Amino acid sequence: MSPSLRSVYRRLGWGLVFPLLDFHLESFDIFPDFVGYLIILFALNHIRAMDSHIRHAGWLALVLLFVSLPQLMFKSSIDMEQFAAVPLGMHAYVQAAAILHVWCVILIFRGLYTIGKATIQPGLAAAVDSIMKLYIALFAIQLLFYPFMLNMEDSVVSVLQLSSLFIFFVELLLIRVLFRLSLNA
Amino acid sequence: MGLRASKVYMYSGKVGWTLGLEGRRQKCSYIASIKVINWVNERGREALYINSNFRAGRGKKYILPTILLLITASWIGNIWYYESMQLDKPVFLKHYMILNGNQSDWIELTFLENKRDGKKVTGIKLEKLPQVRFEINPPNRNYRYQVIRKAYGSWNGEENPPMVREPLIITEATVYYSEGPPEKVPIGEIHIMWERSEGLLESVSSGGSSDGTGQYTVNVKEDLTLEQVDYSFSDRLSSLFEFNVITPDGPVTEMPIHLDAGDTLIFDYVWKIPAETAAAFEIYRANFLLSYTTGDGEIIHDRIPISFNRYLSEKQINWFARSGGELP
Repeated sequence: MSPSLRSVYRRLGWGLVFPLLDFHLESFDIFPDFVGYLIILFALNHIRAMDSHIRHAGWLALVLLFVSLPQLMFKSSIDMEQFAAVPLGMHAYVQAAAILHVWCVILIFRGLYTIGKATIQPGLAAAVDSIMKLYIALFAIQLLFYPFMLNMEDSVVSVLQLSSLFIFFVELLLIRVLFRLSLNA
Repeated sequence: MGLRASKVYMYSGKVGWTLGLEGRRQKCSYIASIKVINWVNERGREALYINSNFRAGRGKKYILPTILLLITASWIGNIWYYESMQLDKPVFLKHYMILNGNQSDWIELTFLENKRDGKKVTGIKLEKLPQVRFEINPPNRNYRYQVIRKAYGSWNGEENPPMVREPLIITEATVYYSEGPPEKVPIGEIHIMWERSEGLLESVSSGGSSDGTGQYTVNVKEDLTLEQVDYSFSDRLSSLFEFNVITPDGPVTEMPIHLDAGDTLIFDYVWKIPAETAAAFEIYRANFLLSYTTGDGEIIHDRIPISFNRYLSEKQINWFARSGGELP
């Protein structure tokens, strides 16, 4: 496969690292999300002509780039202790950004599958399919249980923490897939 | 074709992505897998009593909308409930207090406020005691949707104009908010008096527990005759407060009663405030009001403090928010 596709995979992988990691020094994010979306946007731009999913993912990455800009000013992760004190708009913002992010990831992998259908190993394709299904299911659980935190924290916290832990590992797996693709391409 | 259809039942409608998997399985033991899959399908059909072909197609169509509906319902329901548990504005509890200006120089006011952003108390003034400066403390107790905060108003005797040392009753406070104009808010009844009592009872110990019980023990310094024991706010408290006076000879059943110097007198009391009523949102700083005569026939009116250590529970706060968040 072409060297350019190889670098696209690698850039997408690095791009996804930024929104995934959330290390804060005071309120400053060491891996600002918008940088990640910028890298993703550039990577997708190279292959945008190849598939419509990629084009849509590109638009979403652009939206996410702007949506994630305010996070430079304030910490977007919500403290469990102060959950009920956080304005509803903040919850809506965080969740909306998460929905857009997951949607973007789904579109990227759909697009990559279409582009690389002929060359991707069948085993890898099947694995990615299962990971994506798990990813969507976990995210649906997260979306379903998140608002319960407003009213009944204790019992829901463990469900949410588990699901977000799993989502974290699933995203790690997806990033690993991208790097594997870049090596094989 | 058989294999493909069977696969569809098993995975309840898997899309294009499974193509790779299918190719791989064909390499494996084809016949064995068909047998296993058919067996599973048979059992499945038996268990469900439905046509699995039919179900696979239909099920898939409804999965996404069902999940979206559940998520939307979860968000709407939870936000609605969350909103219903918020107070429209901060609520001052009702304070029924007796303060002796000669013994203490501060007033404590307690109020409830939503945890989330919005209308907050930023300042308090008493029109009848403009010299009193209030300091609003950070949350004192945290509940799920609300916090309890306390404001301390103090005076130090150097106010200008000086405090007039005469009894007065404060029933409302002017409250300043972070949003909107200040408001006059009922705060109960705070009686301020300026008394110097030279009683004949010496305090030995006192204690109060959050379950509402309390005790105050005094030593009698001189021979005296206890004529009467009453308590402040008795008209309000008749059904909420019970007490016993215990002498060395046992509980006092009738008065007057003669006491010798050195006798111990125990005031044993209990607050009986029902949990989910407006009365639970009242704060009392009351006194026992004693009348006794000395050996020379002098009548003395004395006071003994009654401690009040009740805390509001999560359940009570939620009851209050649900029932409209207003005190009568």
